[in-house]
Amino acid sequence: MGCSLAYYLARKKIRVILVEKSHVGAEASGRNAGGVRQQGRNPAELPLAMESVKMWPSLSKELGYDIDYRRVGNLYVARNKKQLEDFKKRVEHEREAGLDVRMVTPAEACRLMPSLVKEKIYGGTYCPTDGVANPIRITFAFAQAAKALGAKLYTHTEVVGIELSGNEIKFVNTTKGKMGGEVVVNATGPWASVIGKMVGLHIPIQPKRAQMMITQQLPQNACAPFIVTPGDYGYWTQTLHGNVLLGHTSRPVEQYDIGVTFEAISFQTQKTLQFLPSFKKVAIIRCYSGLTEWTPDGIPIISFVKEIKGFIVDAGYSGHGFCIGPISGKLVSEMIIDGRPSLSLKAFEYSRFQK
Amino acid sequence: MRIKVHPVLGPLKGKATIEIEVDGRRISAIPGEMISSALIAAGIKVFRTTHKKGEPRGYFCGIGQCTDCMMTVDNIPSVRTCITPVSKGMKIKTQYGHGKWEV
Ligand SMILES: Cc1cc2nc3c(=O)[nH]c(=O)nc-3n(C[C@H](O)[C@H](O)[C@H](O)COP(=O)(O)OP(=O)(O)OC[C@H]3O[C@@H](n4cnc5c(N)ncnc54)[C@H](O)[C@@H]3O)c2cc1C
Ligand code: FES
Repeated sequence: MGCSLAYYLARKKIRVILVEKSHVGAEASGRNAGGVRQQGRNPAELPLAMESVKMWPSLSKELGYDIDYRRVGNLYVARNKKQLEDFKKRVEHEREAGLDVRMVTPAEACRLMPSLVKEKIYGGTYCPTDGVANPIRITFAFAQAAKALGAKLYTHTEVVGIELSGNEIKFVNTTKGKMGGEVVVNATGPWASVIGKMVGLHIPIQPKRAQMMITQQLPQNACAPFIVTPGDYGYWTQTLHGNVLLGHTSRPVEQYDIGVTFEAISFQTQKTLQFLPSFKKVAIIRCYSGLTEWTPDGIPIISFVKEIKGFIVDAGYSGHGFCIGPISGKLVSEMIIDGRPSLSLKAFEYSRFQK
Repeated sequence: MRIKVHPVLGPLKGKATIEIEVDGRRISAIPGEMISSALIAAGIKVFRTTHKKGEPRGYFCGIGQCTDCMMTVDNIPSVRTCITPVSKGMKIKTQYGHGKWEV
């Protein structure tokens, strides 16, 4: 979010300082599965996701760096009747909102993803305009493009405190000295609550850990669309180079620990083999984890905060912020420049948690 | 080609009592040996072609490190044949590029 916002602000000639405690894309934005997905979202987020998907195809060219964006489609698979019923209701709403999404039979699902077992599934929903991109590349591309437009990037620089005078921010204290500006944006994902404490705000965002496993390189049709199945199960997607990523749903975590666990490996391989038995002999070559950032209602906080002048919270994308990244940066830049974002951000007010 | 008497390992143990299938052709193999050994014994040297230039590749390091010996084994692409033992009736295919995913 930080890199995208820095770019859209710099493009409007606003002076930007981006402070990052590690390197660009060190956390979720560089570690996620790369799913650029509109279907299956909270209805409040759907307009943002749909607008973002309009932006993704031209980003490689605009930012001057290939981000491996591909419209591979997204397939949700029902493993039982109840899930299929839920899908039907969801698809109805999504179609009303203008999304190109449809129900598919088990046979169609197997045509899209040959490794599925027809007898084990009840059907699914398919959104052909959903896709994938390379998370490391897009985050880096936004950062580089912002820098080229004059944004100042301070990597390996941590925000350690914020000095207030009344309800105004005097300085942001970092490990490289005092910094400041008219507006301060807290886009620290799962750490947003830590930054919140520095200005006396309670920001209800909790970290969870999601573990990914990577297979050997496989032919491109091994996992052509991005596959999701609901419940505590997982998701599967294939990189441009052919490795299939096995994704794991998030689990609570202590102390922002991003180690990998044997439990997650065993859970993920078992679920994958139940769901996609043809992966039995495929080799896993690596695994890694990342932190997701959860609000109580599972949608982000994107708003000014009335207690502190010029302070924006832009965090809590609850494990699915990658797709929205581009539009979020654009909307927050508009919010800062003239207070009029081109799409409504009403559903994402910080004040909804203050009642 | 097989080494009948190895200076360190001694004489060849075991007999070629099972059959495996390579691109539809049946060859014999010694139970427990690696796929690549059976292929070389049968005179097969090209195991796959590279995906960019289509160049031939075969047995190289012999210890599972270089991935030059990858073939499609029982429909799973990119299996390292130098560290995968043979089994009766195994179906092996020369792999072109990344191979095909057929389930
Ligand atoms: C394994 C995994 C898979 C995912 N898959 C998908 C997917 O397929 N599709 C999708 O849409 N979303 C996915 N997500 C979610 C998505 O990655 C996140 O919602 C999104 O990247 C959040 O971006 P962010 O910028 O808010 O947070 P982050 O990327 O976490 O960035 C926050 C940054 O703030 C920095 N920071 C924190 N504290 C400080 C400090 N005090 N000073 C300076 N810097 C600080 C951190 O170092 C970090 O770089 C996935 C997430 C994970 C972990
Ligand atoms: S010959 Fe090197 S991995 Fe098999």
